[in-house]
Amino acid sequence: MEKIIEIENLTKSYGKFKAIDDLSIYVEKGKIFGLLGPNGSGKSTTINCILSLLNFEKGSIKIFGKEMQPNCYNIKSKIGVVFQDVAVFDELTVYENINYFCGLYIKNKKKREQYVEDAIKLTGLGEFKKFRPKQLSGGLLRRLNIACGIAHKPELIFLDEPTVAVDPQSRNSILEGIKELNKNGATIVYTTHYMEEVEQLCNRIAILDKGKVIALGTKEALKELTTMGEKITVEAPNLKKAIVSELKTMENIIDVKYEDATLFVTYKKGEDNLEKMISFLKENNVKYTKIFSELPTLNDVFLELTGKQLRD
Amino acid sequence: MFKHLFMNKMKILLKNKAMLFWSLIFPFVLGTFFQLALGNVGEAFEMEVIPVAVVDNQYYQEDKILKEVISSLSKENENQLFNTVYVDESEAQKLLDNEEIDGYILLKEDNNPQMIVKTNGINQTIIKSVLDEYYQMSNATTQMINYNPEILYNGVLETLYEEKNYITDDSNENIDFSINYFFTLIAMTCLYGSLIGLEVIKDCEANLSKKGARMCMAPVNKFKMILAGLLAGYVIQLVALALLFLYLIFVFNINFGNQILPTVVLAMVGCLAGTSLGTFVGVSNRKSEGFKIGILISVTMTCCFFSGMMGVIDIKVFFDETFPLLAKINPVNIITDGLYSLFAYDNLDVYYNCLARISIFSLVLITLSFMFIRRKKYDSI
Repeated sequence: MEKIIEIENLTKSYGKFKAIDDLSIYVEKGKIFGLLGPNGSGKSTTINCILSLLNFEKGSIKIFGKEMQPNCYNIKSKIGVVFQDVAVFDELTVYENINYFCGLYIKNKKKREQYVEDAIKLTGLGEFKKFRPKQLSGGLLRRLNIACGIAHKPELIFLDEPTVAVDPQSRNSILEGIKELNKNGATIVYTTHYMEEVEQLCNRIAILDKGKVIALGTKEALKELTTMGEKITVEAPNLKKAIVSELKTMENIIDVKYEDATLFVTYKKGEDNLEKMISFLKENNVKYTKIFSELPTLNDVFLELTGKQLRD
Repeated sequence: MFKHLFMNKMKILLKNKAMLFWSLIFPFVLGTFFQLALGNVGEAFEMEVIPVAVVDNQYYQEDKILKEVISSLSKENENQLFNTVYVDESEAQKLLDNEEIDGYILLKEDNNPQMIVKTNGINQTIIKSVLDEYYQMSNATTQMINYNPEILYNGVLETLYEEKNYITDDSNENIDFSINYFFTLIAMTCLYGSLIGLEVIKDCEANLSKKGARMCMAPVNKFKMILAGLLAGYVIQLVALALLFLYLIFVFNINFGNQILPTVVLAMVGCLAGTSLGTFVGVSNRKSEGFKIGILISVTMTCCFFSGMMGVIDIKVFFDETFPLLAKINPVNIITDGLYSLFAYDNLDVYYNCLARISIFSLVLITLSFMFIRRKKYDSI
């Protein structure tokens, strides 16, 4: 598979603080690559270095097989960027904003008009063409931000936390739009600290912490990194301490917690954990209102690798 | 591409209410205020004939020189200063009490004319000045005659009273010093172009705004982008300035002199100075936009203050004399002086000097801004 982005040993510091530490990743053509990490892990800095906006001390970055420089206009013309903060002109309408940014890439007026309409359709802004940004809700504003970044139909799109502070409806619309862009052939680099989005969208994922890649691969491969196999939750009021203590001594169990009348049991990889738990509760005459099992998430992977939650 | 950038930046700037306020509305409001406050200043100082009385007693009748002076100043012509009545002392006091006269002149045995007034005012000051001067001159003459009586015959005495003016006034005959306020207003409007310069540059630099980062990612030469934006801003500023000129000339009949082309050239370079100042402040630091706008407005208004805008012209004179170097690089002062020289002098020496200084001011700021803009990557954004 052709590599669209190749980064080797990238290091970037702000004074004594190392924002990116010897980072090496690649992104394959036509894929959605996820950069997952908590706030301050170096996701945005990585993107800004790739885009040649930021200086860096060490490493090399190639896009479309060529070293990226600020004056590489032929490379830039194939790239679309959606920054984390909304970057549109308050003085222009939705249509005018998209047309303006698209016009920086597409000179042909007729072609541009079509592209602008396509971007409006993709982001669901049809009803708001004549609205000014200040008249839009937070979710619609995010969609406008995306439309401005992708209207020129780029081959490579960087989306830096595009769903931050967005309502669920707009979030779904944005995620569907991203899938559509990818289906149309665009390669996408997607940064977020929402693991659900990465799991839903990305083919390959790099988990970042303190500027370092701590895990890299498909979501299935990443989940293999954790020793945890299953997490069983039981809503059981008035559970005796002795039962919790007994559970801790059982085979295949990693951790047991009892908080707010709910029992959380973490198991190692293995079979029949749920069945064994139900049997145990029955044997000990424990009354429960709900019981369910969950497979490990990327947050569990992150927790196990770093000792902290993704959103800490 | 240049057209796309230029036209859209025009549209963006023309819809930016804050920019329009400072570049267009504020100078209009200030100009109107100046006209309302200063429009009648010239008329207020038009000299009126002062009603006075002279106590017609023995001492006055004996003082031929004073009689001649009073008579001369009371003659009905364009230079008439006094409207004089000759009465006895009690009648003079009565006229003064009835406020029919501003004061009366009384001569006693010491030949020192006294002025009797009821209140203080400009007219009373004028009467006193006339009497003081008369007293000094008559004393000097008496002493000179006592020392050398020949001066009565050899013409020396005539030279003492002869008034010679060694300065030829080739200037505009109708100079009204309140015009300086309008010159500073024009200069201020030029400098407010700095706000447009700041607005334009902010949207072109990745480390100044997210819009700047997005613009930097476009496959467009950065200098072309900045040039198109600044040109759009410059054109808007020139139009705002032209509208202000037209408003002042046709609505308030302000006379800016007859040298239209040099005035236009100075205004154009002045706007360039404003735009380059805003560009420099924009690119040279990463403080917030509000802070930078505050800096630009403060700098502009301070420059205006030291150019004599906010009150008395004495501030400008004081600043020019005390801090000559700062006065020479104060852009508002330079433009004001340039416009004044076109209005008041018949040669262009001062104008060219001002034009050169404001051009250098612009050039220095453009060069400094260029050094910041030419960076291709940033340490942080």
